[in-house]
Amino acid sequence: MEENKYADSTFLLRDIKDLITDNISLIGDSIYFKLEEKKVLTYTLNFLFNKWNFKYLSTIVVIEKENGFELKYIINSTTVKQNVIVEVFLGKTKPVFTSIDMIYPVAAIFEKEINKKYGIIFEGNPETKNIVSNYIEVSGEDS
Amino acid sequence: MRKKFPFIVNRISTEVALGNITFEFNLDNFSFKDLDLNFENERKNRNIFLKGKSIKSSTKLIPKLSFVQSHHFQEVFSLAVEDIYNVQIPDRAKILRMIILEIERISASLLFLSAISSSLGFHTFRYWVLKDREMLLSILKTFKKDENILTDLIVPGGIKKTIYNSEIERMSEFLEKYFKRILLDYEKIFFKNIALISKTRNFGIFEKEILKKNNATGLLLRSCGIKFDLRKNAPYEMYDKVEFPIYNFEISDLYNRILSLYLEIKNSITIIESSLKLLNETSPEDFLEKIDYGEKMGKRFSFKRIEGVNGELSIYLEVNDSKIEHIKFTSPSFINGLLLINKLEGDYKPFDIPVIYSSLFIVPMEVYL
Repeated sequence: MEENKYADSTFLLRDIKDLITDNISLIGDSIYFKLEEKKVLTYTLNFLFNKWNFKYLSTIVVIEKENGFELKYIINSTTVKQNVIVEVFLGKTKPVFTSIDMIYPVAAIFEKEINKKYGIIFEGNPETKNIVSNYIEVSGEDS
Repeated sequence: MRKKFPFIVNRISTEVALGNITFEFNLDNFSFKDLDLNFENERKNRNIFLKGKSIKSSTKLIPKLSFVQSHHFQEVFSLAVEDIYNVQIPDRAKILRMIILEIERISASLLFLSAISSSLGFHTFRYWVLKDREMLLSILKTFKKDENILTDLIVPGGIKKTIYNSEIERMSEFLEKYFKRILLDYEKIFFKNIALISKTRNFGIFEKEILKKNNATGLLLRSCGIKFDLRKNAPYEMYDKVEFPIYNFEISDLYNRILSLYLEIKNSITIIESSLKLLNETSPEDFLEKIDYGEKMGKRFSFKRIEGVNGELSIYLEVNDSKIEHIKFTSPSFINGLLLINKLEGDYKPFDIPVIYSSLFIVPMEVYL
């Protein structure tokens, strides 16, 4: 049988604790943590992508709450067995967030779906539109 | 002049729309400029139907999400529920699950082969594979002991009904005496056919870097030389106890993608044979661990992924006590159908598209889950 190349994830946990957040939980095969500042998301994903080879974005899960949306980015690596789930919270008053399609090209289609379903705009992704301004443009109310 | 916003678009009956795809493309001198596979009629968000339902009632609905890999959907859902309830299932159930999944992998590979061969004009071969697929499915039917193919067999906790060694032996006899022989005929009539090789070699090529960058998984990834298989790299059930080779090729052209289906079938037969040896060491009575759904669990979630028939199939499941709060399946058809097909480089004519599309293993009803 071929050797399983997955590395020990102890150093990964230490890295996340040192550089990102202390509040990490292990849920099944997943390493889960919540980002207090949504701005840190791009930095976090970039770090995991480059250093720990998390080059595969499995999915983006959106859970609608009363006052906002919980966005869960689930990423996988070919060298670490565990999945990483990064959660950020987005308020409903201004549902605008940054796109991560520069890191993961596949994010473009996930974000497009989320935009259609929940109306969240991902800045930097031309596929996601502001539904209200689009309406004004088509109906000619702005002229 | 004011234009009216097209708020109400002609609504198509959902029954008619099941599995529909529209091909939208721009042509430049009969060559493709860009192609968009439109699954809008298919957009149903089936996940919504499962929200708020109890795990027990959802178990019956899960297999209906896909006719190609219904057992894989049951499997990934069961793994997530078992993770949430912290249940260890018996060894016999694990082995039987593996056998069921591999039978389904063979039947799905045959279905993909039938679609590809039909687009290439190999109609005799198409009828052969469809006939053999029916025979395989009839074996699965005997396991279920009823007529419906889409009933639940894999359930959270193990297997719904036990499958006795005699039934397994009958299936193994079928694989040994009939299926292995017919595979040799497949080779002669199709895989080593000079007409197929000349039509498909160096055609519909995906660059390795493009596939890696755009989340290609499963067969597609292995067809371009990356040795990655979740059954081996992140084993679930008892895949770590069985041996099978991970094949790989240099470039992902149409021929290699077709050949990878054939190698998948061979691998599945190897896995089934190894599983049968393991099965003899277990007791037939030990097949289901009962889960107490009345237990107050509070809010919990789990993420699981398995090697589906066409790539990585994943689930995000969040439950509150025994009710489903949020569920999201992600199938490779979503990525292959909406993203990868547009990454094809080269000059292709309209009649080339059906075969390239089939070789990406897209299952229409799995695109928007």
